[in-house]
Amino acid sequence: MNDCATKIELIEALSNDAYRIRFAVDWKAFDPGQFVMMGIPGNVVFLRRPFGIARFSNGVAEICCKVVGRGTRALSDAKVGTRIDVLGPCGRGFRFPQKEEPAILVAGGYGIGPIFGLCEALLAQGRRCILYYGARETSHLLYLDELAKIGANVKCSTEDGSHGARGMIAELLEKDLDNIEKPSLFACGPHGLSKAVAEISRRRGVPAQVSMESYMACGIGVCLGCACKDADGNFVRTCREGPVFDVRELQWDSSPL
Amino acid sequence: MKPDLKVKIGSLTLKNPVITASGTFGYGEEFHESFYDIAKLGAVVTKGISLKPRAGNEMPRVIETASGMLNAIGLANVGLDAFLSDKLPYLARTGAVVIANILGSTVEEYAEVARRLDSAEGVMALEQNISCPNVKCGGLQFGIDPESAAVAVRAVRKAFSRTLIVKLSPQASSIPAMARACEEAGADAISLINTIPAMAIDVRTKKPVLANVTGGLSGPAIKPVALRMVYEAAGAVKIPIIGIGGIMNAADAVEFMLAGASAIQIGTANFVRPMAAMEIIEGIEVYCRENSISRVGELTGALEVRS
Repeated sequence: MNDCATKIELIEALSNDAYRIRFAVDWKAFDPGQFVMMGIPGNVVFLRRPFGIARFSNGVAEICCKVVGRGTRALSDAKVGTRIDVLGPCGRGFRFPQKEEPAILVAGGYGIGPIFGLCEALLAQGRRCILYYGARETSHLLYLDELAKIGANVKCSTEDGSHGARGMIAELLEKDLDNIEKPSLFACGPHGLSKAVAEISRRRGVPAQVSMESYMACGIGVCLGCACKDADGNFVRTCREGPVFDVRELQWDSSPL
Repeated sequence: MKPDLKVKIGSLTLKNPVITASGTFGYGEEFHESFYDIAKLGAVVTKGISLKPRAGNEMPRVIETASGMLNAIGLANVGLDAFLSDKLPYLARTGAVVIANILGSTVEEYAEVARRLDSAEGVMALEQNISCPNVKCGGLQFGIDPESAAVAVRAVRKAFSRTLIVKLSPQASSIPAMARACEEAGADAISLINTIPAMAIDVRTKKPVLANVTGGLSGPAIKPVALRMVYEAAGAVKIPIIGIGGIMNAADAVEFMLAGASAIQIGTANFVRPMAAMEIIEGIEVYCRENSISRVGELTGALEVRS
């Protein structure tokens, strides 16, 4: 992990409120599921914001930024050449499955960022994987062209039925799981999706890891602003012990944060 | 010529005036492992330590506000036993000057924590927090009233033989009176300010943003308030002042020294730029060189007030 002063090399709209941002970094590798803390030095937005790393090659990293507030708005309004500070790669990423276990990836909305990174890494190793990807409507399904390019097997759902199956992605996943031997689940999306995946994992006894999202100030484990509750009810840091957790490590009965 | 950056706080000599603030630096591990040798700092102040471990408040605990942030962590900490067995040995191995920040909800608790840290090797000084705004019994009652503060400080003074710093709340009824009360009760130095009690509201949900409803404001937003309070405290006592509040760069640090601080603490800046403290040490050195200052201590109280 290090902090580098760099510049935006590419910024491109993926939908009306989501952007891909690319920038050079001086680290050499990342674990899918890890994230960066990113901000524009001197901007009125004070703290950096966390983003899952979607891609990394030849020293250039890419994140997917969905506009949810002031910080993400400032980044999405930035131009090629804008100076940015990037701290990373932060946190604990996904642990890869055993060779023989098919990886079942599950993404919701802009949760595709870290899942794309995982998908690309698994395919590069010749692993079997299927991606279940859901969103509210077609325009919220991101990275579909890139997924096709890397040869990913993608099953989509939208809540309005405008692309793929109609309904929630967890429902489509559950229907298919009967026909998959020894699946291992990897998810990133809204809290409701993570919770549904944890429930499927518990009910079927299949292993599952989820990447959690949280507001945070530092990203390195010292502000204690991103704590979530582990299975014993103790606080753990999303930025340090996570953001990827085995679903059995966390408490799921409490309401989403 | 290389300026002399050393400063004295009580019986403690720091290699430079830059200290990392409690609650923004954990117990040093994260920074030492990933960013820099923490022995290069003037000192490290630990996360506040209570007699028993504290889990802290529910989420959300932090939120950005204009030029700063609110936090209501709730003094989450590993507790005294785990600090002594798990955290202190690591800190001591780094060679950093360790200042243990201590909490208490009663005078007896402060004294007990101080007594046990007195016999712990590797704790060079205490910073007694009489000012956390985010818990019901966080010692804030001691932070408002100088007489209550004096009782708590005297108890810790009796229990701890090395340097004792008392960290003041901006809610003190009078900063000069509070600083004098702490000095008379035996404090070797005063640090100020802690965060300013504040809140944020989500108009969409009509709810407070923080689970704790209120939190402590920190960052550049509080710097002017902190500067004024440091200036007042420095005018009231003879013991050294440690300035805290929204310091983001070397110029900010120099402002606090001119106002009367002998040393300064970096807090929220550690969240924004992990290398902030190192950059500030370097920047202070550059400022001294450029202004022909041979000892950084010459800056303390060098403010020229128009008469």
